[in-house]
Amino acid sequence: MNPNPSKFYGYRGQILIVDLEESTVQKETLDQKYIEEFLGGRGWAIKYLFDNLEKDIDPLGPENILVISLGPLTGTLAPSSARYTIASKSPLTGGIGYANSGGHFAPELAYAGYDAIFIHGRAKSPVYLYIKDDEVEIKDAKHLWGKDTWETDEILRAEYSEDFQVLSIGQGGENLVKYAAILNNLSRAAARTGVGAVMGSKNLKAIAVKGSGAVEVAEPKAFDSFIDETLQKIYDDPAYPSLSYYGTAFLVDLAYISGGLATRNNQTGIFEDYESLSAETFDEEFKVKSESCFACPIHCGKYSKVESGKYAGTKGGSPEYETIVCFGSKCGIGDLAVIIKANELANRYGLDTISLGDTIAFVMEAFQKGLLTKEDTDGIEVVWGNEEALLSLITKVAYREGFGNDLAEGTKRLSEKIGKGSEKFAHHIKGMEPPAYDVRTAKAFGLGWATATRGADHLAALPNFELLGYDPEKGLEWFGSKESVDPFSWKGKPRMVYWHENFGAIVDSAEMCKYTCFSAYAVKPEDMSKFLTYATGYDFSPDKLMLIGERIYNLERLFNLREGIGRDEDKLPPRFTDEPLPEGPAKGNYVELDKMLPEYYELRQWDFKSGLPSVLLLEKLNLLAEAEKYDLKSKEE
Amino acid sequence: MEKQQTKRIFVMQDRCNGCRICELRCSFYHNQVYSPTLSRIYVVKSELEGLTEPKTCVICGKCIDACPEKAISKSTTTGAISINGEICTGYMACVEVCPFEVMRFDHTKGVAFTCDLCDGDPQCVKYCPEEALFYMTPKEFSDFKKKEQQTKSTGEQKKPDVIPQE
Repeated sequence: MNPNPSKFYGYRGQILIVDLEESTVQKETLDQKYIEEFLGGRGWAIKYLFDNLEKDIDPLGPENILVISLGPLTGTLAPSSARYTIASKSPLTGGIGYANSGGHFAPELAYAGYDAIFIHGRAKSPVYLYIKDDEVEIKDAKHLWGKDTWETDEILRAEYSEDFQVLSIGQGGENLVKYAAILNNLSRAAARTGVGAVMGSKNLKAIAVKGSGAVEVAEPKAFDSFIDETLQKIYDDPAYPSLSYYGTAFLVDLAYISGGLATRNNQTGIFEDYESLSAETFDEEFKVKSESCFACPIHCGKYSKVESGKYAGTKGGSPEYETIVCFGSKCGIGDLAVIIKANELANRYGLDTISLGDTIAFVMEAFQKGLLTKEDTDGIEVVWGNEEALLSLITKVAYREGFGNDLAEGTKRLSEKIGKGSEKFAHHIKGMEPPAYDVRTAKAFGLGWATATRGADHLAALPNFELLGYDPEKGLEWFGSKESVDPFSWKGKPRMVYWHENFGAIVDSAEMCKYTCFSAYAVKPEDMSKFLTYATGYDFSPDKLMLIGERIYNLERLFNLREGIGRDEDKLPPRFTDEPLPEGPAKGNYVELDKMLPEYYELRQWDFKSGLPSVLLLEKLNLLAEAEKYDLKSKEE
Repeated sequence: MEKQQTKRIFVMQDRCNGCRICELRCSFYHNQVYSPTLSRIYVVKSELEGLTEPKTCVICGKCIDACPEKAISKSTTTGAISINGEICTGYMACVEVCPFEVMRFDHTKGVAFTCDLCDGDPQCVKYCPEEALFYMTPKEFSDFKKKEQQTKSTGEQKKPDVIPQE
C-alpha cells in the first residue's frame, strides 16, 4: 500500500475523463486498485476497456472508448521511459486494440499532472483537446480537419507555443482507414490495430499538451543510483553500439543473414537487392543524425534526408526496420529513397506502415497470380518493385479513393472480397497484418505472433532472447532448454514466449521501452521491481509484478474471448506453417506451431480444446468474476 | 599576467540528439525532482529540420547589468552567474534581457534562477550520452574543436559493426 494515499510518487495521481458527446471533462483521483492490480499504461487500458465496454459494440461507433495512459516512470530519468499506450476496441481485429509510442508527448502529459485520459463518445463536429496544466478544454478543430499530422502539429504549436507536444491523426484517421495511426513528434507512431480510426470516429483531431510541473519519486537517492547502474548495463550490451548508431535499420542485415528478410509477400527470405536496403547504405546515403525519444540513452531513432534523385529533399524521422521491409523487400522494392518518401507520406496521413505495406504486398501477389488486373486497381500496375504504385496507393488509401477504399479495409477484408483462394496468401492474424521478420527463421517470434492478443504482433512477446547468440547454458537456465538459444529450434520456445508476454505486459504498463528490457535485457523483473518501488513507494516485488503481467495478459485474452476470438484464432497465416522457406540459410524451415501451442496452453493454464482459462488460474489472478460474468471459464479441471 | 580564463559550458550542436537527459539531470540535481521547467538547460528543437540545440548560460553578464536590485553577480569560485535570492524581488529584468532565454523564473518562489555550473561539476555535461556538452575554458574548447576537425578530415572515426561480434 501507498504509505500516504493522498500523495503520489512516480504517478501524478490524476486522471481525465473526457466525454465528447456531452463536451465535458472530469478530473478524478487515481484509483488504488488500478495501481496495485494493473500498474499503469497497457494494464490500465485493458482494465478500463473490459469494465466499461459492452461486448459486440461497433469499434467505430460512439460507444467505443479511447484510452491514453502513462506509467509510473513517465517523466522520470528511468532509461527510455517516455512511452505511452493508446487503446480501444480494434476496428481491424474486433478484439483488444492498443498501440504504443515514444517521443516527447508522454512526459509532457505527466508534467501537466495526469496519468491517463479516458475518452468517451463522439463529438458533433471536429474538436481537439487542449491541456495546459490545470486548464483542460475541448476546442473546435474545424481549421485542422483535413490537414495532415505534420501540418496539425505545426498549426497548434504556432497557435500556442513551440514547447507544446501534439498528438494527432491525419487523413487516414479522419477517413476511418482500418489501420490508421496516431502520430506525435512527426515520426513517432502509435500505429497498430487502427487506434487512429477510433480517434477519427470520435471527431477528435488532436491533443495538444503543455505541462510545467514536476514528477517526484519516493526514494530519489536510490532511484538515481539505480539509473546509473542500469545505464552501465545498457552501454555494456554488445548490441548497443549498432542499435544506437544505425537504429533499427541494423535488423535488415540481421534478417538477411539469417535468411529471413521477408521478400515479395514472404515468398522467400532472400532479397536480391538487399544491399540497397542495408544499414550501411542507410548510414552512408541517408542518415543525418540521431533523433532521440525523451530520456533515452539508446536513441535508436534517426533523422534522414534524401539528397539526390527523384525524391531529393524528402526528410524527416527515418523509416524503422519494420517500415523498410514492409514497403521495401516485401513489395520487391530495393530503394531506400522511395521507402523514406513512402514513410513520410504514411506519417503525414497517419497510417500504420506495417499493415499498409503488407496489404500492398498482398495485392502485388494477387497481381502476380492473375487474381487482380489493372481493371481492378484504377489502372495501376501493382507489380513487384513498382515504386510509383506504392506511392500512389498510399495516397489513395488515406483518402479512401477508388481502389484505395478496398485497401483501407486491410488484407483480411480485401482477400475476402477478392476470394479465388487469395486467402491462402493473405497474411493476417485475427485480422491484423504481420510485422517484418519472417518467423520461419525465429520460432519463438512465430509462436508469439499466433498468441498475441492484438493479432500479428512481434512486440507482445518480443522474444529477442532467441536471436542474440546466447550460450546454450543460458537457454537452459532461463527457459529449461539448451536449444532455446537456437532461433530455428522450437524447443523451449513456449516457456520463452510465456515469460516474455507476461513481463512484456509489465514493461508496457511501466511504459518503459522494450529495447531496454528485451534487447539488452538490462531491466529484468528484479530490476523493474527496484525502479517501480523506488519511484512509487509501493512494494512491487518481482513476483507481484509477474502476477500483474499475467493478469493483464489474461484480461486481454478474456476481452478477446468475450468477442468470440479464442482458440481458433491462435494461428499463423498458412504460408508460415505450411510452406517451408525455399532457399538460403533457413531453407526448409517453417513454424512448428502444432508442437509449440499445446505446451504453451498448458503453461498458460488454458484448456486446449476450448481455449478458456482454468478456474485455478482465474482465482490466482483475481479475474474469476470477470470470466464468470461472460461464461468464460473452462469447465475442465 | 594573463587573466585566467573561467570555464563555462560549450555545446557541439551536431552531436545533440535531443534526448533531454541534460534537463532531467539538472532539475534532479537542484530540486530532487524531474522537471524540464526547473532545468537551467533546455533543448530547442525543429523536428521538421532535424535540429536540436541545447541552450544554457554562457555567462555574458547582461543580467548583472540589467538587475535593478544588484542581486546578480558572478560566483567567486566558479565564475557562474549567481542570484542572491534574499535580494531578488522578482522584477524579471534579467529574464527579459537574457539573449538565450536561459534566465528562468520560479513562479512559486518568485525568484529568478539560472545555471550555477553545479558548483564546478555540471551534471548536464557529466551525463550527456552523446558528449555534446563541454565544461571548458574558451581556449580549451577551441583546441578541442580543432583536434576534432582534424580527426574528421583524416577519416579516423570508426563505425560500429552492423552485426555485433561477440
